[in-house]
Amino acid sequence: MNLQDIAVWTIVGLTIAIFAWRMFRSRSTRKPGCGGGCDCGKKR
Amino acid sequence: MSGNGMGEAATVVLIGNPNAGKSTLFNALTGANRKVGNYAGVSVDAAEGGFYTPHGKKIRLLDLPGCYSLRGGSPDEQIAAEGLMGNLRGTNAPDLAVCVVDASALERHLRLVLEVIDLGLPVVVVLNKVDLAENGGLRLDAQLLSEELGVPVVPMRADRGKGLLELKQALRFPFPAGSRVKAAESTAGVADHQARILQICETAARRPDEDQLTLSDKLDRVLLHPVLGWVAFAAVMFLVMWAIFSFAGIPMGWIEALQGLVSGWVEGMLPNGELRSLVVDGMIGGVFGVLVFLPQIILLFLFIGLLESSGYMARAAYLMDGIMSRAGLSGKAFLPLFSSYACAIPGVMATRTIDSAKERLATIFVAPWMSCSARLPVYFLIVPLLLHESEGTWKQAVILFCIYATGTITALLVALLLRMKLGKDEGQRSFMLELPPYQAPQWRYIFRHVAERAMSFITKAGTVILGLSILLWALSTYPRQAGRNESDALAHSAMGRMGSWIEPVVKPLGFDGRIGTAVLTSFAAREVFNSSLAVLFRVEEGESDEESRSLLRDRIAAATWPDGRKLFTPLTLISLLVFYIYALQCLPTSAVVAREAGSLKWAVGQFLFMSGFAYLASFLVYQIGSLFL
Repeated sequence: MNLQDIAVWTIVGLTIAIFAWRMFRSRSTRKPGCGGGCDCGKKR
Repeated sequence: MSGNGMGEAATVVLIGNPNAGKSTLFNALTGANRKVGNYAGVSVDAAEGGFYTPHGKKIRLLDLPGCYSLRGGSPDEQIAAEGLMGNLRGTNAPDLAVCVVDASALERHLRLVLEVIDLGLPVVVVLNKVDLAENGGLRLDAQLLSEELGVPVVPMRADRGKGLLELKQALRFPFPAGSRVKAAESTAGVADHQARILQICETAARRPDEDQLTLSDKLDRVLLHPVLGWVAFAAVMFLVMWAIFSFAGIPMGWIEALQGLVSGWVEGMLPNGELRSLVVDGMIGGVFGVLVFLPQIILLFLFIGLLESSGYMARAAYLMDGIMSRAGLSGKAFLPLFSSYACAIPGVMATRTIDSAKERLATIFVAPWMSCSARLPVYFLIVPLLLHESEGTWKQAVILFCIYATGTITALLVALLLRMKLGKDEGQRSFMLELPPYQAPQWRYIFRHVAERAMSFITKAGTVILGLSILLWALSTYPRQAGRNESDALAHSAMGRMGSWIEPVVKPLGFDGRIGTAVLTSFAAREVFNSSLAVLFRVEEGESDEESRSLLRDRIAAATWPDGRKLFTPLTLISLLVFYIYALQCLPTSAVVAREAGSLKWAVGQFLFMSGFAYLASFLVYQIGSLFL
């Protein structure tokens, strides 16, 4: 495995980890009834 | 009462008829950026903010949706009544109510004021839009009005911030006591209120002896005319579409040039290999495949903002009432449906203004068929491919107009079928529409709203789309076998294999496995379709390096089937457009539908129905079209 491969797999692995973390986080902290849409999370 | 302690914040509610200017006042007092517009029903939920009075008292301000009466039946009117009674979850009972009234329509707005005064709460009346009323010849006496109502009255012009200081001073602690007329009026009915309103207006708001035709009246003679009104409506809509294509060309060219510069710079920095492919084809190609349409998104929201702010939207709702009623809906359903052109989520929420539960369900069900802004990057990629470069932007505008019309007409037809299935409403329903005077657009709010939407689009491109582009690139690159050329490597990759599985399902629609895969990935977010195409069509057979760097549109125009036939024929492009007009590829919309309809079954049923409808419509278009082309 050369340096380019390591860089590529680091980027791809980090992306998967961020998506997984966001999914977990949004499930645990989403306000009741919030669909996560365009205006969600905006101060209303 | 929460605010009676010196250190605690006092709770103040803003209440008034729709389009009285509550949200404009809320923004002016709190510095928030709540959506405003010159038509009734913009706010359908309560908003909270805070500010300090000149005396250092902290005020917790609650902006309630507009309502004509505290006895209203629609969900937004119920929210307003509950907010006033302190029954909304997470809010305190109010210490004071600020009743916002439109000075130019005092007779109608005072009815709610009297109802609020009857509750015995301390009340301050804001006499908004005094300039409009006085320009119309009305002579207002705020002092007399205050004496008649028994509560403080503050004349204002909320959109310019005039009268804000006076209002803050009127909110001096301790708050004024409940009105002294309360005891006399507490058992008053509608007729008593009406008589009292007439008496108050006779004293404090004298009308000119002769009715004068205002500029709004003169404009309405044309814009609400049974024939000319429709011509004007079609002309306005077509002009918006044309302007979106015409004016966006130059800034789109800048973004494409920026993409070329960034790609060229990265190619100069990195040696040929997988990292370079990931950055150039995956990350830059995927993000710019969506970002390039930012100018069109900005223009769309700018024009929607202009129409909303000027007062034309209410006229459009008036014109549409006849058509809506043929579809079993009322003019009230028009504004939520029009909001869905920007995004289906606020559109679905705006159905709270509809008091008939069955009509509301039907409107929620069809709202996602109004083409939202997330579909635009797909349309803007496909529409120019249907035409030759030499053909003018007006033809693109006509196609876009037809796309919007197709979604709208289908939505109305399905709404009609749903209304027939759901049955008639109990009791008589009536539709009352307020036609506000035309006004100069509130540029500050329009620009803030457009900037907010543009930032949201850029943020989405730089986060979700970037992440998905990286994953799509990985799926279209691995597993990799040494010694294969690019096309074979793609076919051997996870995505290539997925494409070969999907191809039999999507081939009847005119799509190959790559298009099918791009369609499938766009169920995560519609814009991902462009990013997927950028990744999947990064290399075509026989291309040189220079050609492979060309724009996405050129690359997909050159794409072929394995036997050399052109892949993106006009029929395939139309089939794709039809699929995107009808498919519901937005999870957040489904979540909001489940909440607003009060049942997950509606959201799941809507998703399955729309996905099936999209497939069937594309299938019919392609198969029937193939017989003739």
